[in-house]
Amino acid sequence: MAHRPETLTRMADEELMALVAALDADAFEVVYDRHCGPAFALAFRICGSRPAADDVCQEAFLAAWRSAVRFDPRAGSVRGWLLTIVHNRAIDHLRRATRVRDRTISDDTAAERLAGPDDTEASALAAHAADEAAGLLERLPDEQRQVVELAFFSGYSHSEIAELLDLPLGTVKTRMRRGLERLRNHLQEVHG
Amino acid sequence: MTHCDDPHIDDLLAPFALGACPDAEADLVRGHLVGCAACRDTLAQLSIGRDALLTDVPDRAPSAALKAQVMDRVRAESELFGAATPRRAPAPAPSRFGWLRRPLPMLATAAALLVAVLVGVSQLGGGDGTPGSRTVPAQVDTAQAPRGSAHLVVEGGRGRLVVAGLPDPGRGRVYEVWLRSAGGTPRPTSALFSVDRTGAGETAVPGDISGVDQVLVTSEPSGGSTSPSRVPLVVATV
Repeated sequence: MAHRPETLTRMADEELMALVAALDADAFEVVYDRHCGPAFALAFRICGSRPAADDVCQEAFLAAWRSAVRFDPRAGSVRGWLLTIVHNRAIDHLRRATRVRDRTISDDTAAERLAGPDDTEASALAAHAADEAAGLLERLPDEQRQVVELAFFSGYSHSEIAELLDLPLGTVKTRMRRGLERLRNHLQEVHG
Repeated sequence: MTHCDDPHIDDLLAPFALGACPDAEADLVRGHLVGCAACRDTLAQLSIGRDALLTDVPDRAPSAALKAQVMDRVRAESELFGAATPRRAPAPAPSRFGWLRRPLPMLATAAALLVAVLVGVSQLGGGDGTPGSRTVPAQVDTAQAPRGSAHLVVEGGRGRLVVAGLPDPGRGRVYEVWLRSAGGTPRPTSALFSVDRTGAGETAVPGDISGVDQVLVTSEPSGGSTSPSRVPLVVATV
C-alpha cells in the first residue's frame, strides 16, 4: 500500500518501523528526520568531534535500516532503540580511537580527554558539551557522577575506572549502582 | 518480589547497564538474565536512569550532508533489494540501463554499488556446456565484494549458483540463498554455503525456479535466517 509523504509524517514511530522493515526508504527518511538530532548530539557528546559523530551516525542509521526487522516495540521506543545503537557505535569508535592513542588519562573530566589536541574547535565544543550535559548528571554526588560518566560517555570498563581512580573495584560497582538508582529516583520524582 | 541468590551477578547489573562489563562478564549476565526474573526487574529499574542519559546531552545539529549520505545508501539498498515503494513514480519498462536515468547522486551510488559481472555470455545456449542449459550473469555488490563475480546456471527449471571472489562470510556466518517472485519479499531457502580461500563457491538452488524472478544471496548467521538481515551480495535476475 502506498503512503503519501504527509501520511508518513503523521504515523507513529512504531508504524513507520513496520514499513521500514519492508524496506520502505521513505518511511525510514521520516524516522531519520525525527531522531537524527538527538542521535547526532549523543554521538558528538561521546566522540567529541563532528567528523567522528558523522561517521558514527551514518553507521548507526544504516545498521538500524538493515536490522529494522529485529525492532521489537515491546522492548522499548524507537528513539531508545536508535539511541542505543548510536551509543554502542560511538563507544566502539571511541575505544578504537583511544586504543590507537594509547589512552593516557590523567584528569577528571571526560571532555578534556576526548578532544584531540589537533582539533581546537572540537576541544572547545566538547568542553562546552560536558558543561551543558550536566543536567541529569549534576543530580549525582561527584563520586557517583564520575564513575557513571566515565562508563557511559567514555566507554571505560569498571576495572579500568577502578585503576584510573585508584579505587577498589567493589567501590566502583557500588557507586555505579547508587548513581543509577539516584537518577531513577530523581526521574520518578520529576515525572511522578 | 523475587530475589536473586547470586550476589556476583547482582553486583554486575549496574556496570552491565552502563556498558562497563568486559565481554565475558556481559555474556555471563545475559545468560543469567534469561532465567532470573529478579535480575531482569532490577536491570529494568537501573535502566531507567541509564536510558535518560541517552538524551541528556546538549543539542547539536547534524549536517544536511549526513542525511544525504545515509539516504542515498538507503535508497540504493531499497532498490537493490527490489522493494521500491509503490509511492514512487511508476517504474518504466524494465531496462538494463534504466539506472542511467536516475539523478546523479543515485547514479554515483548505483554505479559504485553494482557492477554487472557478465560471465559466460559467450556460451549462449550452451550454459556450462550442458545442452539445454543457459547461464545468467549475476550482479555483485562491489561494496561488499570488490572482486566478486557470480552466475546462475539454469537447466530444466533447476538452478545452480556459482560464485567467485567473494569474501569469507565471517565467523559464525554463512551465505544464504533467497528466491523472489513477482516483486514479493524474498523467500528463504535451505541453500546455505560458504566459499573457499579464493572466494569460490557453488550451491544448488532448491526447488523449481521456473516462476522465480530473482535469486539473491545475503550473509546471515549460521543456520540461516527467515528474513534477510543484510543487503544482498549477489542478485541474479532469472
